[in-house]
Amino acid sequence: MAELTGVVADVSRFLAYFAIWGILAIALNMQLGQAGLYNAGIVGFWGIGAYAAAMVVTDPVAAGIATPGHWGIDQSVFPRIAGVSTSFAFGVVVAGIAAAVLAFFIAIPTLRLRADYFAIATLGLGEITMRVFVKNLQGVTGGVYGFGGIPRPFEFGFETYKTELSYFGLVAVALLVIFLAVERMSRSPWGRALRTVREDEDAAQAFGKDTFFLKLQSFVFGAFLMGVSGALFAFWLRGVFPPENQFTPQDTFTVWVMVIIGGMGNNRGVLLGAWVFLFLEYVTVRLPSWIDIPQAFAIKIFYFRLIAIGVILILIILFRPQGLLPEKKHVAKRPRWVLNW
Amino acid sequence: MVLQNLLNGLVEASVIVMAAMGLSLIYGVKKFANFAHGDMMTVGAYFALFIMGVTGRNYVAGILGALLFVALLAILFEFLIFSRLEGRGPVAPLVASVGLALILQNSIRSVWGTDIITFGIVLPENWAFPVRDPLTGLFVTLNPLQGFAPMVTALVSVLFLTFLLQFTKLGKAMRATADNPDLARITGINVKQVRYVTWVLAGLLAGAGGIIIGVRLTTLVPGLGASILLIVFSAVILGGIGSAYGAMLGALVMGLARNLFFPVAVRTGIPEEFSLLIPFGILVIVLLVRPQGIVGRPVGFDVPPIRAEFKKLLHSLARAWRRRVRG
Repeated sequence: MAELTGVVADVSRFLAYFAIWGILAIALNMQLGQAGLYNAGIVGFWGIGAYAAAMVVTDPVAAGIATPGHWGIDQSVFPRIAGVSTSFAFGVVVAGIAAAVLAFFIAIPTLRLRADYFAIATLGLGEITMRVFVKNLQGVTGGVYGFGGIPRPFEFGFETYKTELSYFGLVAVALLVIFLAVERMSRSPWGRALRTVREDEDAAQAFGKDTFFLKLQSFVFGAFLMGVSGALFAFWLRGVFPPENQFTPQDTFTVWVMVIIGGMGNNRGVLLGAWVFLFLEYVTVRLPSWIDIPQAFAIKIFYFRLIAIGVILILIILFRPQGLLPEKKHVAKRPRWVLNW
Repeated sequence: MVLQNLLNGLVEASVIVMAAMGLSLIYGVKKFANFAHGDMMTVGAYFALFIMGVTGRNYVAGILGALLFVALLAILFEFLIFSRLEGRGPVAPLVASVGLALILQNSIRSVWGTDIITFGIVLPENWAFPVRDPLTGLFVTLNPLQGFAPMVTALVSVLFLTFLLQFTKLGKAMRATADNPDLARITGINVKQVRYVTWVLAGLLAGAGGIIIGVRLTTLVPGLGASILLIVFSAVILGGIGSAYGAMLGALVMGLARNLFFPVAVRTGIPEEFSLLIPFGILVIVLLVRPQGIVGRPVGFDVPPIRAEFKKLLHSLARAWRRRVRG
């Protein structure tokens, strides 16, 4: 029985992890797949969301000799519904808003840049946000050390499988809601206008669409979702930590890999991409404990997996740039722009 | 004047310029940002180490072997991947280079793991100059291996590249291809060959740069090249995409700016980590205000005659000054 609960806890934890990255992938799909914005600063938005949520759901800790201290909110101000604090809901919303505000200010000057310059600019800004500011504001963000002790909405003490399972349920609902909402948005006139901007911005302008504003909306909304994902991640991890421990550019490129391999412009596709990536990770990490592998080889599987991901990415770019699940075209046969990128 | 910081800045600029020149060449001729450039440098450093291990501390063999290996790898990359991505715009090869970076960095990790590796060189004594730094009161020092050697290597590479681009037929062909490949092809230039040669040059520069970083840092880590990539991008974009001079100028500014910040930090109490803000901040500001950089043109790879370029720069500065005075 104990073994079963252990498995349930482990699997629930992984599935929640998948859902969190799935939301990130859907968010990037809105920016990259729908609007054609190559956002390489994902960790900035994800991280800001995580830190903001972490500060909303924890009490403030004063800076001391041993602790760098961090901001927080006195948890007693939050009403409780059925024994669960509402601070988590507030945390998620604040996280989304924080990321959206950051995105707004980043977007205003950068949206007019060409695709690869936009990628480099957002990469730089994401790094500035996390590595310069978040990492160094002692007393606000916990500085170089970050902080832990972030609670879960539903805590069951020693029965970890209940905690993990309930959290997975929560995140799964979030993913479902977000997926349906984003699908709805992309089938709407707004979504169509966005795809027109992506395909041919001049033509879209000729039709009278405010392309800058459309791109801004998709960028900011995508960032909002990234912030939400960040909040859910902070709760999942029960802590937030600065680069180099968490929130590195590698995470940004991970999301890119998920979206590009899975299928740009297709929400189901990017979820598939996220699943492929994370399931491979899950299996390769646990493989040494399942079957007998020489110790030296066991450590290297981790790196082989990443090499394989790199190879798959290159193969996809070369031979199937539209990804595993291509975007469903509602009118034309093949997305022309995909062949041009 | 903070002399020690100035000297350190020049050394750091030498390191950055090795990477920046290669990156700028690729950007100019192949028209994309090579995110695998940092890892190519790392490969150079680790392969040099490998050769030295195998040949019993033969440094010359190590360096030459590493340069050759990275150059061959560069040819392989062009042949397998980037030649097929011509005409697909700037983003497809960029993403492919991201995948390549993953492959390179994790290949190194799978062989050397998390071991701490060094070149195992005994560092020679610092040279002390008979000048005192006004800030610290100490003599200004420079290490012959970690400080002087990078500067010499960088200077030689810069002169070599400038000579190649300015005075040889190959250099002219490279400039032409960067400017307009179709037009270059019409005039009889073998564009495919030019692209391979560009990759070889970029590979050589990357390999040499990696070895220098390895020497400077004493210990090698798999993230060696990737960690300075963003600073190198800042230097290249500041100087001007596709402009070799721009890369040199940008690298100089980056190296000096960061090191001259440290005494400022000491005096004003800003935490030292904020020095990272300088390369990233400059990058962002340049992209927003003047994406083509100081010297560069929006497209193409510009190494026009030195005197004419200098005159142009003076003229544009004068124009800006007059406009400012007037308006």
